[in-house]
Amino acid sequence: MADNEHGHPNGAKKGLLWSLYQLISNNFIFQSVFRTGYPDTMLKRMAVMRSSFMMHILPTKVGIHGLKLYYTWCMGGITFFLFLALTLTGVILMFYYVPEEHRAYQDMKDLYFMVPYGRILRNMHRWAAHGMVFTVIVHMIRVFYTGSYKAPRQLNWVVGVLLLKITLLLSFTGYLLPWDQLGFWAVTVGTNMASATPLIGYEGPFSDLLGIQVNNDIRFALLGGTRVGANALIRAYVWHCVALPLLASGMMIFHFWRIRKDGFSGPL
Amino acid sequence: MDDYTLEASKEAPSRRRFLVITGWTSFGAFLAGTGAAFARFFYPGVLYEPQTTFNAGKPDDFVAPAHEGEVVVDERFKKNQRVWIVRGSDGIYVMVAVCTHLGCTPNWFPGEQRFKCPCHGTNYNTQGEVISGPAPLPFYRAKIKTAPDGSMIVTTGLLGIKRAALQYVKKEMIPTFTKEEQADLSQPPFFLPHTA
Amino acid sequence: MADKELNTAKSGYMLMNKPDYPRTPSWPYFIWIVFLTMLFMTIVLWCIAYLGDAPLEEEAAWAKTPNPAKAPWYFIGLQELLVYFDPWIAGVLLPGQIVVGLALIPYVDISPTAQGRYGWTDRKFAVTIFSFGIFLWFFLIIIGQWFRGPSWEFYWPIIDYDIGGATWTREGIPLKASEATLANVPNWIGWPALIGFFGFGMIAPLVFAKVAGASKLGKAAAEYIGKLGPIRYVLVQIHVVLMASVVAKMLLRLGLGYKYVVTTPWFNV
Repeated sequence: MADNEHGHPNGAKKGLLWSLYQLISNNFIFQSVFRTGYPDTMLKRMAVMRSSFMMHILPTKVGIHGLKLYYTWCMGGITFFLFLALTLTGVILMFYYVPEEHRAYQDMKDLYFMVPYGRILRNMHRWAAHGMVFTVIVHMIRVFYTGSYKAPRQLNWVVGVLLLKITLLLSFTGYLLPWDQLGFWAVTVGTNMASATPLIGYEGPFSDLLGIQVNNDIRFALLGGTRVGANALIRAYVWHCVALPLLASGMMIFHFWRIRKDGFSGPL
Repeated sequence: MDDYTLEASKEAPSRRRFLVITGWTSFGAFLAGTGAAFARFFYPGVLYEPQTTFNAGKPDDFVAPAHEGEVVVDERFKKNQRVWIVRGSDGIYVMVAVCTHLGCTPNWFPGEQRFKCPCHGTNYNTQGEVISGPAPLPFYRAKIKTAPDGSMIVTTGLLGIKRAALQYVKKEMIPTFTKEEQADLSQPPFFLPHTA
Repeated sequence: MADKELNTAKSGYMLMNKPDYPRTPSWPYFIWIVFLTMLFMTIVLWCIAYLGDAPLEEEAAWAKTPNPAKAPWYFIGLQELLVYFDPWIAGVLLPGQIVVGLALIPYVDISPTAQGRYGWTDRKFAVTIFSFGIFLWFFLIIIGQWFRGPSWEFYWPIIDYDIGGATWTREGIPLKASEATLANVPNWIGWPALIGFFGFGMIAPLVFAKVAGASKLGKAAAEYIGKLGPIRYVLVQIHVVLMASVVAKMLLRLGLGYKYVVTTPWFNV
């Protein structure tokens, strides 16, 4: 490609950085990866958004209100960022953590005291999880107050509500994994609520009519047993690390695709 | 069904229509069966959980209360079996240490002669009946049998003996025992008379 | 621009769908905001993770429940509800109602105005109901997180003194769970009261619109109900009445010391 297609924006003075950029970019290999060239014209600025895999998730052009911070508070974006951070830290933590009744808690202590950077990784994972629940709730509140759920975005709001529920389930299943008193009793109480479901929970109304007992009700299926034990731990682990993140990712893809199709909601 | 199938079924009502209906019905049945199998998969066939029947030792191992009307609650089997062995002035009974509200382990306060649940604050009396708080039922009871050597064989079942297992048609969902239930609970296998 | 037949019409109420709406390319301005936000969040996350250790208690023990055993903050609202309702209501029915209610919002609120901006004047009713629900949720979280102590009794936050106990409410119905003797409402009062509450709740706005039809508020109510139509009116009002009934039951418990309004052999409410 000719040099003038990688021209300097606004025709400003050519400095050291610019020379460096020229040095790196002026070859076939660089240009096979970044195909648009330096985005200094309107056409190239749009092309850079369209042709980049990472950036095509974002619109090529936004209304000027989309740039105003008080409108969205970046809450949806921060939620997605925290999801990515949780995926990254979570995968790294999986290298050390074994979901076994007698080992799980010891592994947490190892992460704290023996694994290099284990403590900060676990802290980041836990605090980011709390943060994600908070930002996803604030995001929902913001979308309500700006009326952004109205036609043609109804379905995306419903998907968002389901994503909120999945976020809560992700937090809930993750809560058990350290195998400490905090998570153990939260999960005991939580799954006992499931056993109070009418008809299909053994302590729920009308369950006697179906012959539902402690070893064949809905709580039994969640825990894989009659008590929170080894089976419950491995089930929480699989839901937390595989099933729910996949489900959440699929729904997020839909959620973002729908936003791109409908555009950001704007001022009336 | 699209236009093609509709058209086709009009032309040849007998065989083609039959095959279309059979085909889609089979496919639906297959999906339903797979779904049911997937749900069934989550119910394990074998459990590796602690035994629910255990030997609790001789009745004499449990200290009688100093005052009439009080009880002594023994917590030595709470850790492994999650039961309290309760010694009243005229006998022994066993209660499952699971709050009937949401399954927390209540604590015993001898001074107040009460069990209190830390999760949502339910208070139980010495009989396991709910005095205050949100729990809907009294504590579950375990069965006591006497072994030939005089020691007690306690069975909690999977979760103790549910109220329904007292063989009464439930007349009312109340957090205290009815008169019939009280009579049943004051004799074996739910109660082991023992004095001295 | 719209293809009505394919139902892809973009809302003409939105300024951004008008052809002359000012737009700017995402590169570099929007990308810059996204980048800075990510950078900011990374720094925040690192700092929090560096300064504060994530909670880790003793190893799980079957036989010993910590006192108090608190759920994570986002579930404390539910835990607080469990004090006032049986688990099948607080743990199954009400969470289900919240999710269904939230999902229904765009299908009952079909007025296209006030879209894409913070608005109050055009949608006073919707904003009021939603705000009350959010307020209730966070109010319960705050109560549960900071005002509940051992045995789930009321305590002041930080300091260890419990709230007044027996002297807090009127005599015989103390706030302290362990000292309260709760009664059930007799069924011959409970059933009519329950059915009456829900029955009147369902028609209350209609009655109001009729009675106060001359006033400004009455006219607004009548107009709003007219716009909703019968099906959406029923859906909205079910959720409004359910929300009100949650508050009513809590007040019944705390103020008058009633545990159940209705008792049956199968379930209690």
